[in-house]
Amino acid sequence: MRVSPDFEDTATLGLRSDVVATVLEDGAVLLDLQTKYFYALNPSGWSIVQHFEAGSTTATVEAFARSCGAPDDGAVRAFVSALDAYGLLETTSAPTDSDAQAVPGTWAAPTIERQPEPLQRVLVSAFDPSIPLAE
Amino acid sequence: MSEAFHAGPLRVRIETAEPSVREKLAETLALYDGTWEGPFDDVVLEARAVPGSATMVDGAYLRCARMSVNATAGEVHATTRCGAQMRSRGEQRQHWAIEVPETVVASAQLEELEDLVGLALTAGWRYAGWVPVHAAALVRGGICPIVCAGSGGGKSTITAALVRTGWRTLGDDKLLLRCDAQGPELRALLHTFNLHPRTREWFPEVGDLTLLPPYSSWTEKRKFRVDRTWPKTTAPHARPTHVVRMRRSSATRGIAVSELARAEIFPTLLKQIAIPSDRAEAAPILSTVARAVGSLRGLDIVVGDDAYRDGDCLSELERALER
Repeated sequence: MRVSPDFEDTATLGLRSDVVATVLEDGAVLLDLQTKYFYALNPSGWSIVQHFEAGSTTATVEAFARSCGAPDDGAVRAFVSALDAYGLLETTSAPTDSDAQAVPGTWAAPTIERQPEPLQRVLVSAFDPSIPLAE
Repeated sequence: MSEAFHAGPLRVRIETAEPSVREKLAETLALYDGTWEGPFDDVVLEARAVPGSATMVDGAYLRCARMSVNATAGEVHATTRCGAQMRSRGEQRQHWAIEVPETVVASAQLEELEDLVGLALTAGWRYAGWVPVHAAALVRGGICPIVCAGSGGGKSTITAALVRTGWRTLGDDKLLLRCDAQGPELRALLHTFNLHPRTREWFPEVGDLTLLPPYSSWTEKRKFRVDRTWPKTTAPHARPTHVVRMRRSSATRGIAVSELARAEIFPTLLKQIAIPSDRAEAAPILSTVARAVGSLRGLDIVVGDDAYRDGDCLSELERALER
């Protein structure tokens, strides 16, 4: 479910409404509630995703990254493409104010790593997330 | 007729005119014998028999083996394979209306009510600020590992093994987790283990477990009261210090212990939690786990098939926990 193969720099993109983010000490995690995959982001990746939580454009996040010291090496665009390829973005209306913070410390290329296995989609019970065994 | 039970921070009242339904709901709730001080959130389970059967919903909120659940802003609607259904009333999801087909009541095949009770309880616990975690936990001398494995992964057996060496347990598969100013906190919900009858081969004092009531139709495990065999070995709460990822392997002798990479601690704990596909409910779960793991160390253990025949099999794990 990609936004488009070659989304426009100026298209406003947002994190899908059923993707949840939480901050870890060294970045953040996104959980896609539809696919049950979760994704680890480094601090630079998280700072970019925060822009998309509020709605943003590729051009805007590239400008933000440059302001944080990112080189113009295509890494930010590749990161946004990865978010899109994983189906985490959707087109949205005009952006709202972002709470995104500058990356603490030195800028590093943003990374996103999908966990090899998604969480189970069919569970034993509301308490037990294991794979149900045959009765 | 009304009857009240406690299940962690909840006080649950059953309201039904159907004796067999009341008995099944009461039996399910009676398992939660962990001691809690109030205040308690009140939950009502109101059940009645109805002529027809409910059609299964698609499970957009939660899909379980015997139950599918949908949710809208104002209501949670659960259906089970036997045609029972349950709807929440009110924003706080403290009143649940259960309808059981008359044919099911007549047949006394009421196991799926356990799923509905579990849904109501987990919703209530989350509303009370706790995250239900399907893991075991033990405590000794300020050290508290959360033992993570899937169903049938050996949580109960290693918990029993550690209890025999002086650890106290908060439970072998049902815990509540939250974070406060002092850090993560675990609470016990019940003091019943689910042990496989084979456990007797390693720990003879458990006796013939086949004489005990079965845990469920899913497994051969039996419900086993911990303190009946190992007195004063339960603990009501603890501050966790470790996440222990556990798996079994026939290729391993004894118990192999290694460090769990820092990046693996969060997913290991997250995989022990049933997360509804609802952003408003998933977000606090993720946030609680993220806060909790910040202070936890990780260990990875691989348990051989017959590890517990060796009376010294836990020593490497205990040394690693105490380092």
